[in-house]
Amino acid sequence: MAKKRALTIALAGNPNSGKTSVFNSMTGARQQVGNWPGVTVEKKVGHLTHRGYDIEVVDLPGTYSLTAYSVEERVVRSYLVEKKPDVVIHVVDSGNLARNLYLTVQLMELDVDLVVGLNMWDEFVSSEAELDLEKIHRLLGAPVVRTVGHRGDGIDALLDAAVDLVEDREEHHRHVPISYGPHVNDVLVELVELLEESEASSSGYPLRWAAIKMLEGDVEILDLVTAGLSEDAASKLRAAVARAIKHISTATGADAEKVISEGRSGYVEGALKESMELPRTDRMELSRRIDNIFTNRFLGYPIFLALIWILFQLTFQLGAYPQSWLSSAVSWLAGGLSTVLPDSLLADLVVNGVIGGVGSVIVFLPNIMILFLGISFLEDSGYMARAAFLMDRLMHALGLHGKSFIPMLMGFGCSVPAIMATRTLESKRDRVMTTLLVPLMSCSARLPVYVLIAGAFFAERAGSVVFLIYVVGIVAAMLVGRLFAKTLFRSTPAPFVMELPPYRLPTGKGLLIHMWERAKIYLQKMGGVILVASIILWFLGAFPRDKAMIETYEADIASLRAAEQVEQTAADALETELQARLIEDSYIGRAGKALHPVVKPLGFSWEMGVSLITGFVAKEVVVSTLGVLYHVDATATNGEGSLPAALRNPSSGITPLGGFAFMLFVLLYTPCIVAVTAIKREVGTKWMAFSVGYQMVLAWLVSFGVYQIGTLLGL
Amino acid sequence: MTAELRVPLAELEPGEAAMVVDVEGEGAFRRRLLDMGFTKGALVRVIKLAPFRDPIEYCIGGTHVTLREQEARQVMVEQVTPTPACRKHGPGKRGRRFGRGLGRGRAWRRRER
Repeated sequence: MAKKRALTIALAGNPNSGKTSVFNSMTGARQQVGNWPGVTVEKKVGHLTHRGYDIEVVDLPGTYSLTAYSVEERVVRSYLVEKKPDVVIHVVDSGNLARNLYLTVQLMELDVDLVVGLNMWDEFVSSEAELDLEKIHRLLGAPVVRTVGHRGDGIDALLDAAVDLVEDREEHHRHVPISYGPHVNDVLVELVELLEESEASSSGYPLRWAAIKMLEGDVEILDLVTAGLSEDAASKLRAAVARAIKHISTATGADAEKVISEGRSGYVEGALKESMELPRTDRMELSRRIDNIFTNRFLGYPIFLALIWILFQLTFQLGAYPQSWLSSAVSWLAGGLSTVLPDSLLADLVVNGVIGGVGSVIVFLPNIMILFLGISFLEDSGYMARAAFLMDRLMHALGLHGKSFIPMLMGFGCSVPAIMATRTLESKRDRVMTTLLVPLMSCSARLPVYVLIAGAFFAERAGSVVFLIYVVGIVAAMLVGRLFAKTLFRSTPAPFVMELPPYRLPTGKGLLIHMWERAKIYLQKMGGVILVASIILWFLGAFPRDKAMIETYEADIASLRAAEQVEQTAADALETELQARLIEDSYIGRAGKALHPVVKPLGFSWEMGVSLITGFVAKEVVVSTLGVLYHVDATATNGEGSLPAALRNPSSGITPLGGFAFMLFVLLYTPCIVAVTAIKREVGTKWMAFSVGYQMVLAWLVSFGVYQIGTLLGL
Repeated sequence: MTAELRVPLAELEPGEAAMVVDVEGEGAFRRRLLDMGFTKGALVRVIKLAPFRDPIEYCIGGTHVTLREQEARQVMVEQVTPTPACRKHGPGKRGRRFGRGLGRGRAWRRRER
C-alpha cells in the first residue's frame, strides 16, 4: 500500500457555530486535548484518514475576529500564519451568516486556503431562507459545503472539498480583496508599497493584511513588522502608519479601526444581499418563547436555583456512591496488600504512599465526570448564557462574571471540579479571579473539621457556629473579590458582550465526548502530579524513623499482648503512643512544632499546627492527625477518650476562642494538594503560587485578629 | 436626524429599536462591539432587561447579544420610527419585517409581493 500523505486541516469559527460538533463528527473520540504553548487556551487535535490522506485536524479556539485583544484570537492568527495548515475550514452558523462571514472575510485576507462549512444547514432550511451557493462561492472565493455537524451530514463533503483544494489549489484559490472605500484603499496601497520597499519581514503575515492590522492600531503586528528593521526604517514606518491613521480619520470623520470594521461588515452585507433570500421565520422564535419562561423576572431565579440545586445534588450526592465504591476498592486493595506484603517500610510506602495517593486522585473522578456532563448540557443547550445573564448583576458586584456563579457554588462541594469548571469562562481575567475565590467556598472535606471543633467547644450551638463559618467564607470571597477587582485586575476590564445562542437540544455524543475529555485531563495531566506530591507528603510524614525507639515500643507491646487479658488496653495505649511519637518525630511533626510560634498567637496548640500541614493532603486528614497526636481514637465522637473530650481538656491548651480561630484558619488557608494542582492546571504556576500565598496570609490574619480581639474582650 | 436624537443605547426600553451611530470607549471593549456588529447604521432592538435591569439583551444583525448597562451607555444610537423588528441585516432592506408580527396577520408578506 502506498504511503499515506499527511495533511493538516485547521477548524476555525465563531463560538456557538457548532464547530465542536463538526470536529467531533470528523474525529470521533480520537482527540488529544492540551494547551496552546504558553497560554491556558485549550488546544484539541484529532486524526482521521480520508481519500488516502492522513489528516490531522486542529480545532482552533472559537473567535469572532482576529484582533490582538484576546488571547484566543492571537492564538488563531499566529497558528494560521506560523504553522500554515494546508487547509482552513471555517465552520459558520448558516442561520447567522452576517456575523459569521465577518470572520470569513478576515480569514480570506490572511491568504489561507479556505473551505467554508455552512453548518446547521438543517435549521437554515427550516427557516425558509434561501442562499445562492454558487454566488456565495464566487463572492468568497472559497468552496462552500453544507453540513449538519451534530448529525455528521456533509462532513465527508467538507473533507472532499479540503482535499480537492490541496490537490489543485491553483484552480480554486482566488484572492478576493476587500475594498474599504477610497480613503482606506489609498493609504493601504501606500503602506504595502512601503512595507515591500523596506523589506520588512512580516513573519509570514501577508503584507496587505499586516498593513490593515497596523491601520487598526494592532500593536502586536506593528512591533512584529518593525522588529526586523533598522531603527531608521522602523520609525519611518511607524510615522507612516500614524499619518495614515490620521488621514483616514480626517477624511472619513471616524477613526480607522471603526472604518475598517465597517468596511468588513459592509462587504459581508453586500455579499449576502446578492446571494441570500431572508428567512421568513425567526429561528429565535422558539428560543424567545422558552426564554420568556427561563429568564422571566419572577420565574428566572427559582428555575435557575432549581437547576443548579439538581446539578449540585447529582454531582455530590449521586457522585458519593461511585466515590464510596472507589474508596472501598482502594482500601480493600490496601488492606489486601498489607496482609500479603511483609511488614516493612516499603510495604508502608506502597500501601499508604502510592495506593493512598492513587486513592486521593480517583475519588474525585465521579464528581468531575458528573459535573461536566451537567455543565456540558447547560452549555450546549444554550442555558449557560442565560444563567450568566441572570446572575451577572450579582456576580459583577464581586468583580466576577455571571458565569462564575456555577464554579463558585460547586466550590461548596469540592474545589477540584469547581476550579476545573472555570473553563466555561471566556476571559482569562474572569477565570483567574474565579479560581482564586473558589477555595473560599467551604468545601465538604472541611466539614468534618468544623463538626469536630464546634462539637467539642460549642456543643449546643454547634450548628450555628458551623453555619457562621460558611458565611465567613462567602463574605471573605466578596471582600477579596472586590479588592482584587480594584487592584490586581483593574487594568483589564473584560467586556460582558456575550452572545445568547438559540436553545438547542444537546447530543449525547457531544456530551459524552466532553465529559471524557475532562476525565482524561484530570487523570493524565493532574493525576501524576498529585500522586508524586502524595508520595512526598507520605515521606515527610514517615521519616526520619528512630529504629531503636520503634523496636523498644514494639517489644513492649508484644510482651504486653502475650500477657494476660488485662494488659491488652495497656498495649493499645502504647500503640497509639507509638503512632503519636512517629508523627511527632517526622519531618512534618518537626515542622509543625517549629512553626508553633507562628500559630501560637492564633490560639493553636502545636498539635493543631502539625494537623494543618497534614491537612494539605486533604482537609479531612486534619481530624485524623489530631486524633493521633492527642492519643485518642479519632472515630469515637463522645465520652472519655474521644477526640472532642481530649480537645476540651484544659491540658490541651485550647480555648473555645482558639477552636473558633482554628476553624476559620481551616476555612481560609491553602486548599488541598489536589485543588492546588487543579489551580496550576487552569491558570498556571504563577497564579497558583499567588493563590497559595494569599490564602495563607488571609487565614493567618483573620485567625490572629479574631483570637487577639476575642482575648482582649475576655472571650 | 439631528444631534438631539442621539441617546445612549442603555436608555432604550424593551421593544424599542434604534440605529447605531457611534461606539465610544476604546480598546478591547470597543473592538468586541464592532466585531459583534455594532457598526454605524446597524439596527439594534432591546429585547429584555435582566431582573435588576442589568445586563440587557439586544438583538443586532439577527443575533442576541447581552451588554452590561454601563457598556450600553457607551453605544450611541439614534431612535428610528416606526420601530422596526429585529432583523438580520442593517438598514439595507427597508420595510421588510423579520419575524411574524403578532396580531398583524400576514401583512408583511403581502407587502413583500
